Amino acid sequence: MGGFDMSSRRDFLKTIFSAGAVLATPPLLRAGQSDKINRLVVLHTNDSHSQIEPLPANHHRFPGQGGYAARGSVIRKIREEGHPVLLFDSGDIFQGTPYYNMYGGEVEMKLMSEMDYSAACIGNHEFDKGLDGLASAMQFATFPFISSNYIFNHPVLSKAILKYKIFTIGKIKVGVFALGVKPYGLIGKIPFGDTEYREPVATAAEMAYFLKKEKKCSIVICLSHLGYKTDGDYIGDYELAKQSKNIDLILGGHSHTLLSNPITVYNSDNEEVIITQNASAGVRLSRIDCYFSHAGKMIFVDAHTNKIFKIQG
Amino acid sequence: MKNNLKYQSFLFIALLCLALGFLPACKTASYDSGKAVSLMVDDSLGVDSTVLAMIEPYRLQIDSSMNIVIGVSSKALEKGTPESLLGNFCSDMILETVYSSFGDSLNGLPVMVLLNNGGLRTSLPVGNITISDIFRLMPFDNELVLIELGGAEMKRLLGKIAGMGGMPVAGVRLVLNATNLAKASFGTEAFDPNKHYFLATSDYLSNGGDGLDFLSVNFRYIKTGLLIRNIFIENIKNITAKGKTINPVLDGRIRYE
Repeated sequence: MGGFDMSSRRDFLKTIFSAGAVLATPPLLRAGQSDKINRLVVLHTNDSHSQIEPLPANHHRFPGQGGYAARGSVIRKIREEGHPVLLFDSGDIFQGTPYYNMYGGEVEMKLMSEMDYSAACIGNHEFDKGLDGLASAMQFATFPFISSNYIFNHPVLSKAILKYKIFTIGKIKVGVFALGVKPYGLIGKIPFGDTEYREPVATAAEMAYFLKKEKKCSIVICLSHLGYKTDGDYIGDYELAKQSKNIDLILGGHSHTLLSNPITVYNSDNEEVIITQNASAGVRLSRIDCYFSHAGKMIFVDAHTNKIFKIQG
Repeated sequence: MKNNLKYQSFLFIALLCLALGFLPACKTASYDSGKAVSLMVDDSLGVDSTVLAMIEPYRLQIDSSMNIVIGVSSKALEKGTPESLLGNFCSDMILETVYSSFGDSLNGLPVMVLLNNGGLRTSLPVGNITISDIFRLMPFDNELVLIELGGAEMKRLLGKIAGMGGMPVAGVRLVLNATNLAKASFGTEAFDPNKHYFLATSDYLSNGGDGLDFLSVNFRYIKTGLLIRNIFIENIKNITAKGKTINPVLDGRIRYE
């Protein structure tokens, strides 16, 4: 960086962005192929709770919002922009409407496959019809489930559920791992079965180091079903982010928190971690556009304010 | 418009980089304005016709089996503490079923029904109640279980209920002092820590849900095979068959000193 420190570089870019946004001269430069390689759109849903149809028009908080058909349309429009897209879900896909009672997750899995989800995290309600119920729903999914801290011994799930996944898009390597909430008191002993649970902070440290340092991923994403804030002895994303290293993005769930704009937290290396969460019932979809230089540097920008969340490199 | 801004930003950065002599830092980078937001999902961008067509056969089947009126409520039922109309109504229906279907299994022991407010997922409206309403109220496939508890475990459980500021119960009357239990009685008899009791609750709570791990210490554990949701549906149908409406009251079953 040649004596150009992080914060002044940030201010510098911030100035450029606000200036760029008010300029009204016609474009002289066309973006080349490299633009498509360098930009990655990350989309994220959480806690959809089988809300296949939109919420009722008289819903007290999100009237008429959500619904898989509307979500499909939003995602399709974003894909039409032509940038590579990774689409994730942070769990509790199941439970909440008769669609799950009657069809056991088949509908959710088929629709998410149609929307071409990249991967999903296991939420506590994914266990509601037991391990066999989860395995049977997963037959209808064309995308993988990831869980780094639930160790499945079920014959189907132990093979089907991944510990992590690396997506390679052009020169960008995206490392993804996922954390499930502490099951005690939340998931029944019978449905949880012989599944083993590992403490999420240590698992996160291990997985993030592995993906960033050993696998040389450009960006490490944590799919989390821990909840946003720590609740008693159930650690949340905010606290996890502060203690962490090597995680860039936490796509959250479980607490149904609505973060209208992603939250930035400084980790134990004083680097920025971005946290998102979208209430519940599929009423919101978070979008994070990541940009990568050829040298592997990365920046995140807020659409509304052009505020730069993070520069890394 | 968005694209214009993007190219302008790119150009502007490139020019500024040159002007300020930061070429080494910038020439490999491709920056422009982007997005990091929680986007509204509604039909303002239309709906995906493929997704909609996939949902349709399931929706039709659900509508035909769910939108059936099974009863009428004379008031809106909400959950709450220390007692609530919804909590009393739901736990009374369980108590009714325990006595009518499992009375012989109880050896004459007192019964307490316990549900959890977290498990009652929505309120019930005034007016028509449909099967769909009951699915929204109790989406979980929780089974009714009967557990014979020693007095020590029952005492601990009553203390837990007091600590929570009340939970949906039936068959018992509790008096609370702040977060402590002051008095408990079953029918006309005061709670006796030397006696045995039956707890009627969901398999979720009995398996340690809501931190009730100590329920694993028990004398008998009866799985009834009945889903709590179906108990609600059948009881409401019975109320309707008798020409009555749903009309629970607050009766002081859990109150403060």
